[in-house]
Amino acid sequence: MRAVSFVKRLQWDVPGTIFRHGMTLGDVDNDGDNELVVGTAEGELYIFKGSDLWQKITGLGLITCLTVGDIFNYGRNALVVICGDGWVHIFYSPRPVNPTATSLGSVGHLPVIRESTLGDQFGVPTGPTSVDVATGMSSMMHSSGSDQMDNNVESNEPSGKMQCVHVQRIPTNTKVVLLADVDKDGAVEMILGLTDRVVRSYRWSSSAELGSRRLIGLNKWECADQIGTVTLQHTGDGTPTLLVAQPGGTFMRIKCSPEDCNFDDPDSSETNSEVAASCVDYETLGISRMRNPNISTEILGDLEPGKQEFVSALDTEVPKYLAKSVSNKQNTFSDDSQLGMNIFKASSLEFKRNYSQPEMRKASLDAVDTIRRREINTQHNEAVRFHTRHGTPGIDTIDGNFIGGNVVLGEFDMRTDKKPLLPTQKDFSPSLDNNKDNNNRSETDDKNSQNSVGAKKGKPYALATLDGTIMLVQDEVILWAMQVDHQIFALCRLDVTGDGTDEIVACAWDGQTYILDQQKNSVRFQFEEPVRAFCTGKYSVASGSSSPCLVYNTFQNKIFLYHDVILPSMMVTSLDPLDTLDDKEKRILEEWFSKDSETGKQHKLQLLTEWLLYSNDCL
Amino acid sequence: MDNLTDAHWFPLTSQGNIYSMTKLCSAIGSDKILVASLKRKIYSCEYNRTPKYRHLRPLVKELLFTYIPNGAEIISIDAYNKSEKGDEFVIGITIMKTSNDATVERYLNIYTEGEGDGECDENSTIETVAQNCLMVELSYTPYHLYHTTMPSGRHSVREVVWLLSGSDYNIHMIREDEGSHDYAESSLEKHFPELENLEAIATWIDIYYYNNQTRRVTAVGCECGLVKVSLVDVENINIIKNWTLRYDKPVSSVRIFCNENVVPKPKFLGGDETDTDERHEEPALNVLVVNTVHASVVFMDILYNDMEKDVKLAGSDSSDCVLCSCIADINMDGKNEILLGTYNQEILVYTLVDDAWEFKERRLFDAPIHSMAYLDLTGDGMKELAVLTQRGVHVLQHDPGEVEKTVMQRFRKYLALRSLT
Repeated sequence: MRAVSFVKRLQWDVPGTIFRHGMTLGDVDNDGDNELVVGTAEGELYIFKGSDLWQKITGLGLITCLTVGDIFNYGRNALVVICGDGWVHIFYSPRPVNPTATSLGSVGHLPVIRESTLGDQFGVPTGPTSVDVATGMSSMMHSSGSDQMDNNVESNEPSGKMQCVHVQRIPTNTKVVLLADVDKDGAVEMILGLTDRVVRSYRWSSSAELGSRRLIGLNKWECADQIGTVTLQHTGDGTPTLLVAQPGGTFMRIKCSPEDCNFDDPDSSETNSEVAASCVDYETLGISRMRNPNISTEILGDLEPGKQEFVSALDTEVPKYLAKSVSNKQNTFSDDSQLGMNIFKASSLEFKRNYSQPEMRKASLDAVDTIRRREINTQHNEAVRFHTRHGTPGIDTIDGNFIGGNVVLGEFDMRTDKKPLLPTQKDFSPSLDNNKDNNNRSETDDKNSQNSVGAKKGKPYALATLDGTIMLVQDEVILWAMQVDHQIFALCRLDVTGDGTDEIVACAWDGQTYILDQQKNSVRFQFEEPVRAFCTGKYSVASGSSSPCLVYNTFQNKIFLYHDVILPSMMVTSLDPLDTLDDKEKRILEEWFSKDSETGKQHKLQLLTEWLLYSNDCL
Repeated sequence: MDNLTDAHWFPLTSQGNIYSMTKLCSAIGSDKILVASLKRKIYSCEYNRTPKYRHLRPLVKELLFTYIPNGAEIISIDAYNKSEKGDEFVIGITIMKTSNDATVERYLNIYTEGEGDGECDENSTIETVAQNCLMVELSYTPYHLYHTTMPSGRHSVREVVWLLSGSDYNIHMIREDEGSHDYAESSLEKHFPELENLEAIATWIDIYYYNNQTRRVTAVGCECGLVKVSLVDVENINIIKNWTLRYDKPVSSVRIFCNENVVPKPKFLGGDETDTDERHEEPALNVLVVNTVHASVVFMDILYNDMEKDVKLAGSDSSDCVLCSCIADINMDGKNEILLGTYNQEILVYTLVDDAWEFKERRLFDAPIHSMAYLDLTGDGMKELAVLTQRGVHVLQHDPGEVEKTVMQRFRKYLALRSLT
């Protein structure tokens, strides 16, 4: 395998333990440059900008994961920090960008909004009585968070430093967070994956009749087994789905339609758990039977497809997949955004695995699915459950948390008439278009898929297991699989070639990093230390430009950020002078070489090239 | 150097030194490099071409050389190709081994295809060469292992001999014994009188033949800062001129080079493939003296100017210790550039602009640079830069797309010139 070494890097000391998902790259302060955000288990949040630490926030609790995205659904990024002990903190930079946002800086002295649903942990039923309890709790929390307030007041300069704008109680044990539009309603949802084998979704609500601006729980899904990662994946017709990695190289696919998630629509009361359960598929993928069912799995969805389909180009590994028909790929597409989808339509390329026919597999898969569901049925009181406000009384019996949007327990802000610290959705009416952040992948994806309704194939997605298998899958058919002898714990995307297609980056515990393109060409990079956390993305070392980066956190409490991780191509090709010559010139060469064997020709061509390149005769 | 991209990298289990990398120049195929690490492991790196798809696959093999005992440390490695038409490699490796009773054994192991044993076919691989060892015990600690030709050898045939600098303040010549095919030390006096009585530890030797191999320039750089350059009349073994310079810090490398390379015109274009720079009667020879601490110096056209006209390489003293050098035309403009590799993990590139060597660019690596070589690993006519660092070996390749355009332009120009005549 080709190996490279990257040299340009930045290095910072970050005392404290960083969780696997405790680092992210994103534009937290909406200045157009990407920053690195790191949260530690000691409750410290570090934001790096350029080559320096830009802001440090302390006293947050056990930070397990964080993400940057438009959680408020008004086209501006915020930083969402999830603590394993059951808090979500949202930070926002009041950097004045447009006139409505300038007022933010002036109202920055509002106290930190703490909202609590702790009340329902005591089993308090819904009703007016709970308000008192909840208010009492929230004021208590308020005082305990005073040190944090000072911090915020201090940093309330026009410098655009991050301010905590929202704090809310959520269930504990979150391990992974995702901001994505999972129900195709145009608004971003927050998806949490918990170590309790639960996936939850939330949406920011700023509507007045619900009385609050807060995150409203929408759905809860229970998984059969421990969650690896949660990722967004669009099917061929553009329906967003959630893929939840499950041990043994398997995953669950969750489809959530807008009706299921619409908490303020009373007509959806008919939604029952059975309909909801049918939206959850358990996918085993062909070769999972051969794998250790306990091995942890990572999943990465919505890979930007390459311009060329995967065809086993390398001569040694042909026979595994059978391409039934490869139609001409010379179609040209004017619109780049449609490129991927159109290719899928144009070339009806189908892969058949030798040992698992798709149809058969489909059938067996269904069977497995029902069996699996029955198993869950017996294990728990309810099947794979789907919670809406009418389906259940609103309180989750398992962890005592409050689901659904109709019951408001915590009346956290008494001064309802005050100008809110955060602009509401009305302030930034349809400003979604100017969202420049690189996290808005889902939006463009939506556009893509809507443009090409009828395209059958979804975008490819990748799976990696701890035992070193990396797979690229499309529509539940494994395009290719690769085995490496290192324990892969992280799977990320990064466009290192700059051609608009996503490369898969897999990092192993010992620092070995694999970069694979969707044609299975691979490049290896050896990071010299064991890795505790890993992420990829774009980072702006200098303001105004950003480059692909690999970020490693080591057990020595250091962060290494490799920037300018750029490879002109994934493959190394030799020089072929014939490429650029026209037919006449090729004929001349043919004449010269006519008497030679194939190797003789090659040798002569080598001599000619060397002479042309390194002598003075033809300058 | 910006157009050079990382084609491959492989790590070494233990670090090498400035003598740890050597080229294996093939007469028929693509070149290889041999890299020795201190703790006995020797790797070869080459590229496999898949003719159909042009994809190149790096092939790094650990070679098992015989007679390198446990606990031995490899000091230097050198190799040459005996044959002009095929591949008959001769590889020399110097090793040092400390025994239990605190005595040190030092050997020069010479690996060559055994002659007359019937297996001497053209397909002799490097693996079979590695199994065929002739040992020469040394009474001194070896340093730089170098090979050169000796035109006035026995039967007036060109003979390749080893030159080895030692801790005994001498340079030793080791040549093959005609009858027994063993190697043994031979007296310098008759063949290389300019290397006699050096009285310093030579860190680098470079020898350059010109004028149909009748003249040669010998340059030796020493640990104590001594630089000796000699001009020798080869036919009569007569030292024409001698220049001695003394620096106060070690000299890591000396190079004798021309500003322009002569690449033989291919035979099928009516060229003469034996036309190399060695034929020129009075070439403009420069001598590069790489100072580890102070600025490195180029003495321009020494045959004309003597050692009078020196040009400093600006900035080569501000970087960390300069460990190695390489003369290569890496921008393919027909003129050589100077590459210096430093302990500060960077390569500095100098180009000649109006009689002055100008600093052009630097490239950062992951570890101190120990050695560099510019050679055609891929066998496509375009050379690659192999860089040995403390941690591993980098192979840097020019962007094939860009170079293809250059080839096309020059090919068209050649066709135009050809049609004129």
